[in-house]
Amino acid sequence: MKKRVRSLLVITVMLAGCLGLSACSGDTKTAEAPTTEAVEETTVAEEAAPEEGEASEKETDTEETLNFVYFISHMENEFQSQLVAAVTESAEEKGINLTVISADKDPAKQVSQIENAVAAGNIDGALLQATSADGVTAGVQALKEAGVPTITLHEAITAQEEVTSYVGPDLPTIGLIVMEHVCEELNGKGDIAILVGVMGNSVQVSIAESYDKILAEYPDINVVFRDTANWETDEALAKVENWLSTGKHIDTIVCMNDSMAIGAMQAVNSAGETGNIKIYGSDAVEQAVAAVKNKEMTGTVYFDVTEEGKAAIDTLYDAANGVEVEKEVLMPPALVIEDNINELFPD
Amino acid sequence: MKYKVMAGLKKTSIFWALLLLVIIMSILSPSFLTGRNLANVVKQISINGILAVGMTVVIITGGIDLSVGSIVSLSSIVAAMFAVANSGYPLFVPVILALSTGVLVGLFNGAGVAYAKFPPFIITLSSMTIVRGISLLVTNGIPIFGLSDGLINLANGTSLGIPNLIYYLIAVFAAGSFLLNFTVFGRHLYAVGGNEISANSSGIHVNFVKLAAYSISGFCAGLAGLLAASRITSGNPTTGEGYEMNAIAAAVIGGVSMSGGKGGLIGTIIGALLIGVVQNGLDILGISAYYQKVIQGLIIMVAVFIDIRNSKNS
Repeated sequence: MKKRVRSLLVITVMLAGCLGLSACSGDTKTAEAPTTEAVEETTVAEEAAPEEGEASEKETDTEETLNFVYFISHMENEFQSQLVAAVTESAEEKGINLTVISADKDPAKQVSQIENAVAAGNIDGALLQATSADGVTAGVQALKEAGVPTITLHEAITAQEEVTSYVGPDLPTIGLIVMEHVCEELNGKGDIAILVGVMGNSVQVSIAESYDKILAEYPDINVVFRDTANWETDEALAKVENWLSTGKHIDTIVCMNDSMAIGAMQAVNSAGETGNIKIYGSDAVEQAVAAVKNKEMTGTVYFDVTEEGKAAIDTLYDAANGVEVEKEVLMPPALVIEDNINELFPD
Repeated sequence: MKYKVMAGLKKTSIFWALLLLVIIMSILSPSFLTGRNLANVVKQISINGILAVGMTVVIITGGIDLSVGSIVSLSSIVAAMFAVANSGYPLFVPVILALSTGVLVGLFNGAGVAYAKFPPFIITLSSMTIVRGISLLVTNGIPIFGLSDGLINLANGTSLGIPNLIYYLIAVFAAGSFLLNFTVFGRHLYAVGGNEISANSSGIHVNFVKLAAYSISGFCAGLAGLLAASRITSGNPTTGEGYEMNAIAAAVIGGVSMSGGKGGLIGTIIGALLIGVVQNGLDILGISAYYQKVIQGLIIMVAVFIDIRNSKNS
C-alpha cells in the first residue's frame, strides 16, 4: 500500500514536470529540459503583448486602448507561427491589446471560444482564421450580433457576407502563376504530377481550381499522377517513391505546399533524378528556399506574411474606429525561382 | 490429416491473403514486381513495422500504446536538433538521445500503467497529447532541417544494394522474436497478458513486466523517430500523426489479440506488409489515397473476423 502511494506520488510529480508546472525530477531531465525552456518562452511571448498594451495605455491615456482578439485555427507549423508573430508585432506598434486564442483545428472549440469572448465583453475587434469554412458560422453570427467588427484572416468562410472584411493571400493567383509557369517552361508539352493538400480544405479547393483552369489551356500537358499527400512530407515522400517506380515519365511535380515538395524532392533525390524532374512548392519556408538555392527544387511561391499581418491589423483598426474598409484585401503572391531567389532571400 | 491441413491453412490465412494481394497487384501493374518497387514497399513499411513490433509486445501484455506516433515526432526533433550539420556533435549523440527520448516516454507510460494503475488507453492517450505538445513547443511548429550527411545516410543509404531501413526492421524483428519466443521474460509477457492474477500468484513480477513492455515500445518508437528524421531529412513536429493506428492495425491484422496473451511478430510483420502493399499498389495504379483508408479498414475487419471464427472453432 505504502509502495503504491509512493509510486503514485512519483507519477504525479512526473506529470507536473511534463506540464512545466514544477522543476523536473532527476531521471527525466533530458526529455524535459528543452520543454521547460520552451514553456517559459511561450509564457514570455504571451505576456509580451498585454505588457506592451499596458505601456501604450499609459501613453495614450486619453484614447481608449483597443482590445482585439485573434481566433486562430492552430499554431502547428512554420507558416502559422510567422503569421501570429506578424499580427502581434503590428498590434504592438499600434498600441492595441491583442489576445491570441487557438482552437487546435476544432471548429466546435472555435465557436465556443468566440461565444465566450463575446460574452466576456471587452472586445473591440476580432480576427478570425477559421478552422473550417462552414463550421464556424454560429461564432460569426455571435460576433455580428454583438456588433464586433470581424475580419477573416488568411482563410475566407462561406458566410463571408456576415463579416466586415477578408484579408489574405490571393489564393487563385498562387495556383495560376505556378501552373502557368510550369506549362510555359515545358513549352506546352510534357508530363506532370500533382500533389494536393487535404481534399475539401478551402485552400486546396481554390488552388486546384486555378490549376485546372490553366491546364485546360494546355491540351498537350499530360497529368500522369494526381493525389493528396495531406500537406505532409512523409506522405508525399512515399507517394512520389511509388510513382517513380512505375517508370512513367514525369517532367515536373507540382506540390501545393513546401512540406510536400520537400518529400517529393527527397524521393527524386534518392532515385538519382535530381534536376531531371522539376519540383515546385508553395509558401517559401526556409528549407524550400535553401533547396531552390542549391537546385534540388525548382521553385516555390512567396507572399509577405509580415504584410498580411499588418494589413489585417490596419484594416481591423480602421473598422473598429468606424472607418469604411474594403470588403477584400488581397496579398499578391510572387513566384520564387532561381532567377530571383537571391533578390528575395539574400544569404 | 485433412483437418490438420485445414487448421494449418487457417492459422496462416493472413500469409495467403498477402500472397493473393501480391499476385493481384502484379497482374494489374507490370511495375509492381520489380526490384525497385519491392524495395519501396519494404522501405515504406519499415518505420511502421518497427513501431508494430513494440506495439505487439505491449498488446500481448493486454495493454495498448497510443503515444508511439507522438514519440516519433519528438525523437525525430531531438535527433534533428543534435544532428544539424553545423552543431558539431558526433553521430552517436543524436542517435542515443533520440532512442533515450523514446525509452523515457515508454518508462513514463509503463510506470503509469504498472504502478499508478492507470488504464493503458488513458495514460498513453495523455502522453500522446503531452508529447505532441512538447514537440510543437520545442520547435515552435517549425521543422528543423539542414541535417548532417551521417544522419541522413542512416535511413537513406543502401548496403549491399538493399536500402538501410530494411536492416533496422530485420534487426528489431529478430530481437523481438528472440525475446518473445526464447526467453523467460517473453513467457512472462504472455502470462501477464493471459491472466494477470495467476501470473502474479506464480511469482512473476507483473509490474516490472509491464514497465519493460512499454519501455520496449518506447524504444521502438524512438528508433522509428530517428529513422523518420533521417528519411524526411528534417525533424518535423507534425510527423507521425496517426502512426499509432497503423501500428495497431498491423498487429491486429497479424492476429495479435487485443485482449492480450496471444499473437506473435511474424503475423505483425505480415500485417505491416499487407498495409504497405495496399498503399503502394494503389499509388502505382494511380488510385486516390482515400480508397487506401477504406480498404485498410476492410482488411482489419476481415482479419479479425477470421480470427474470431478460428478461435470459436477451436
